[in-house]
Amino acid sequence: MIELPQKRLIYIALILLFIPYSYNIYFYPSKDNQLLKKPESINGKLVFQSYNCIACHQIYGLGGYIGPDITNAYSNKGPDYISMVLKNGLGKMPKLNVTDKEIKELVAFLEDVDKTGISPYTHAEINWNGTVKPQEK
Amino acid sequence: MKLTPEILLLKFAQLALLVALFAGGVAALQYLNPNFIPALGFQKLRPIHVTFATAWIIGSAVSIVWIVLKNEFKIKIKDSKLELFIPYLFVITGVVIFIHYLVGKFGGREYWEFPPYMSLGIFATWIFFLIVFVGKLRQIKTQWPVYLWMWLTGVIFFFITFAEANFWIIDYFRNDIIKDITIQWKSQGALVGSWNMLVYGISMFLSEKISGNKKVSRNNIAFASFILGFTNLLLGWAHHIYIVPCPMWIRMLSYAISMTELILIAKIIKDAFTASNSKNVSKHTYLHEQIYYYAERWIKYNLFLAVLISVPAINIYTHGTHVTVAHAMGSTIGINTFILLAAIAYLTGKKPLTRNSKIVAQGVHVSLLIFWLALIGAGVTRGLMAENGGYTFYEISEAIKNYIWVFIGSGLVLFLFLSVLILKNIGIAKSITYENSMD
Repeated sequence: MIELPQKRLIYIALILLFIPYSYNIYFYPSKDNQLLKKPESINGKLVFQSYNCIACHQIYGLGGYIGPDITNAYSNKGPDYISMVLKNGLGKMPKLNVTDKEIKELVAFLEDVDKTGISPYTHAEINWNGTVKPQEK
Repeated sequence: MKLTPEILLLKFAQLALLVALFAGGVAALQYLNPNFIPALGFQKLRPIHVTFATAWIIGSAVSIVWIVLKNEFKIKIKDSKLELFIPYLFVITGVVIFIHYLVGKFGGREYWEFPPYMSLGIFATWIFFLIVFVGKLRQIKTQWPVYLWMWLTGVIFFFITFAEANFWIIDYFRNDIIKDITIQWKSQGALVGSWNMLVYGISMFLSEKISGNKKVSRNNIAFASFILGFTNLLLGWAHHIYIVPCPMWIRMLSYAISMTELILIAKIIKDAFTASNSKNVSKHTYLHEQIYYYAERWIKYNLFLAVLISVPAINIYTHGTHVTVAHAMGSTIGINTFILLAAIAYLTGKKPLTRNSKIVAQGVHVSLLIFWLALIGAGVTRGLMAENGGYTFYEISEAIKNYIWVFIGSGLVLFLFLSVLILKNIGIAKSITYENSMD
């Protein structure tokens, strides 16, 4: 039977481990292609959130499934196509009455998201231990 | 009998579940036809469904923990005015968030889609509960069963991880696209782990009561299971972000930690070869036993799925697909809701299992199973096509259409059975008489 002092020790050890672990996630060095620098893309992220785009779309497969993953929408479809869809809606995508300024900002945000990586992976290489070779831009 | 704060909270939590079910039902119809109710688009219904389902799980788990502390540990139960703040803050915050969603005012973060200032209401409610909870724990002088450790962990880590969920309001985090996603999912994963600590603790309490064996919540296996769950809560969340280009060590550590759940699978297989502790379904006398039996089944189904999708080589086919939704629904309905409903049925006066209530509980279980399998079918088809490349979003949507029809049909049946189970068979909580009542 594990006694109370041992239980406390295990519990506290796990919590102490959590502190440096979290610190390293909060403050790992950022990569340049992962930062929003332009004012348009910084605002674009807030516009993206204010229309709750994530309810239907995904970035890196995270979000709703009624619409497509838009991580690489910028390089796959281009800025003009994205602007047109945002302005008029398409298929299940409603017309959201987004202003021209907001469209520019959203496109700038999606351009920066596109630079960060690839989603979804296609023809992935699988390693012996069940991991997958990362695919990069 | 008076309406105590914890029963009031339970009542509000049950109403939140009904709102979540209704929004889920309408959202399913919007999924098919986006113009079904133009003023109530999918971008409004999804957050209503998700937020209120979360409110149901957290609100009812908190009130059940509260009832058990009062009833089982014979502690002083004189209610303070502070305690009354909890249900009222809970319901006011919920109503204000609901209004924000209806008028289309969003914070736009996955799961917590309300503007960030609404988090203050949730923080305040939680601080009040933390004070009440710790105050009651300090009165317990006997050796703690493991579920008390689980509840303490859940209450503390909900606070920490909910704080992390709001880091995005700081420029440093928000303007780094990948770090923001990483911390968001660190927070979401652990947040779900925190409420699971509350719910699985309730499950352990119920298991003790149903089996009549106090050892199930006090032996080394119970403590080891708790430590395994706690480690996964802290470090095992990154299977959500295997394809996100954050530092590799975060993802690899999570993969290794997630695989420790194979120990639980090994235990399930071992138990299957020896005599199972669960009663046979036909021998159940009370409604809570029947519902808890289904919860145990769903723990097994979802554990197998969770371990499978935590392997990166499988995850690339399931991530970003309906398989993830299947896992979420299996957890929130099959495990959390079944455990919570079983606990409510037990604590508010044991209800005999009638032919009618058995059919309704079976209806929930079977419709959920069809719903879950349809989601897995849709997700696997979508994942294979997406990984193969060369298909448009429209082509993939057409390929999974039949699965979506089954998902929507079974979802509506599930909505009806679950509503009947809550409203008729279990009932909305009214009051409770404590064995050590001072009224």
